[in-house]
Amino acid sequence: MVVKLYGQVTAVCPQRVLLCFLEKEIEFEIVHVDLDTLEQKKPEHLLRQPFGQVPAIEDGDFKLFESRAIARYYATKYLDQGTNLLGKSLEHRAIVDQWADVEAHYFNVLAFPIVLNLLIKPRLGEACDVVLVEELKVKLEVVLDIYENRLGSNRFLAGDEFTMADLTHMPAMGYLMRTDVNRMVKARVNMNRWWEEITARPAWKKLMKMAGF
Amino acid sequence: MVLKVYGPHFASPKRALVTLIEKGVPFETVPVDLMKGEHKQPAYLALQPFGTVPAVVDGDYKIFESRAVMRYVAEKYRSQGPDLLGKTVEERGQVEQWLDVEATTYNPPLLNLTLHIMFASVMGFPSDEKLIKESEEKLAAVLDVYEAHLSKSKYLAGDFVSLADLAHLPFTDYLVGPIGKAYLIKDRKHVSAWWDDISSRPAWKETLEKYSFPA
Repeated sequence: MVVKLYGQVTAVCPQRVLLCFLEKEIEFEIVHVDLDTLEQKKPEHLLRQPFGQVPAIEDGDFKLFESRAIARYYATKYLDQGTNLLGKSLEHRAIVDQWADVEAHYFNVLAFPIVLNLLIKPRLGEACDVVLVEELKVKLEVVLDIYENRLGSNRFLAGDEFTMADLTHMPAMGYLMRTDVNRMVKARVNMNRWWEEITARPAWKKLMKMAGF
Repeated sequence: MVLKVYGPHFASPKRALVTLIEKGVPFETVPVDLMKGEHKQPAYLALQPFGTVPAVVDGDYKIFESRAVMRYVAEKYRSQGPDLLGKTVEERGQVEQWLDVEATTYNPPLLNLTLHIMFASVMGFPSDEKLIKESEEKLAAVLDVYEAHLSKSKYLAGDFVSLADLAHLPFTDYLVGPIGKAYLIKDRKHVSAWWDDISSRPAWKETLEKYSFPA
């Protein structure tokens, strides 16, 4: 029986899980939940994800939501298969967790509303909050300086190997790079180097193809 | 050399402190004076480059992000104290799920209430009434989901207390105390019972007793 992922292949949070599946060579099935028609808020989906969000997974009797928790679960369950996303020791794993948490608390809080305003709202015919976007960009410069410094002495965020810490950034970064924010990344030597390297990975290329890019 | 936790008087570091106490791990604390801007000084930024608390130093090893610290301690000391990660990979998955819910969905509106009700005047910015109202409504909607879930599950990840429950303690303590919105918890039967249970754990009582913000 193959794990079912409920979500939309173009949405950031489902992509986080899909990328994990692809890196770990785990077979999966996508069950489309249409965000444009707010299918995620309908009773049927609320039974899978009571906060009305995507993704959710069903793997036989086992169910889970929160994309980062799902990714960690599969990275743990299939530790010996595909890419090791969790580090080689307890201490290394904790640093992977540290930078994965940084993604959620410092990066995504800025990246998500920027992507929402610059890419998603125009598509849905809604007005972009230009003032907010400018404020967020200023804050993002500060955060990216910290990443730039980190990637100056580390090939990847948690050390010298690609891990969950890098993976978890990729979906939102992928969209950010389609906005004029991409110059912020390109202007930073280490971030640019890191982004080029991680987006050259076969799993990322497969994901982009699946998402129609 | 004993593990050190920086910034014990603040809420986020208490996630790490309560976990250490639950697991019976010896530690020391190092105060960080946020009012004096100590967290923005180079010495502190070397430990936590985003300039927030906590930071943890364990011999040569440094780690920040309170929930990453919780996971590290719970994993390193797995064989002592309560098992806060569950017994199986699937139970761990449930712990991670609710730990992420706390971080992405529960804490953000609660943090807005904390900053705008408790700290606005002290930190010198105007308290945003509209944001307070919206945050309260958002938190109420989240707690409705918790109420439904906790009517079927004793603790968040199952019938065992886990990191997911403990992660809620510090800011919810503010919510029922100085923020003055205890009704959000008390008016929901199962959330209230869950809160009474986890907040009466000896490890949490010890955390508050030793590390509450000095009056």
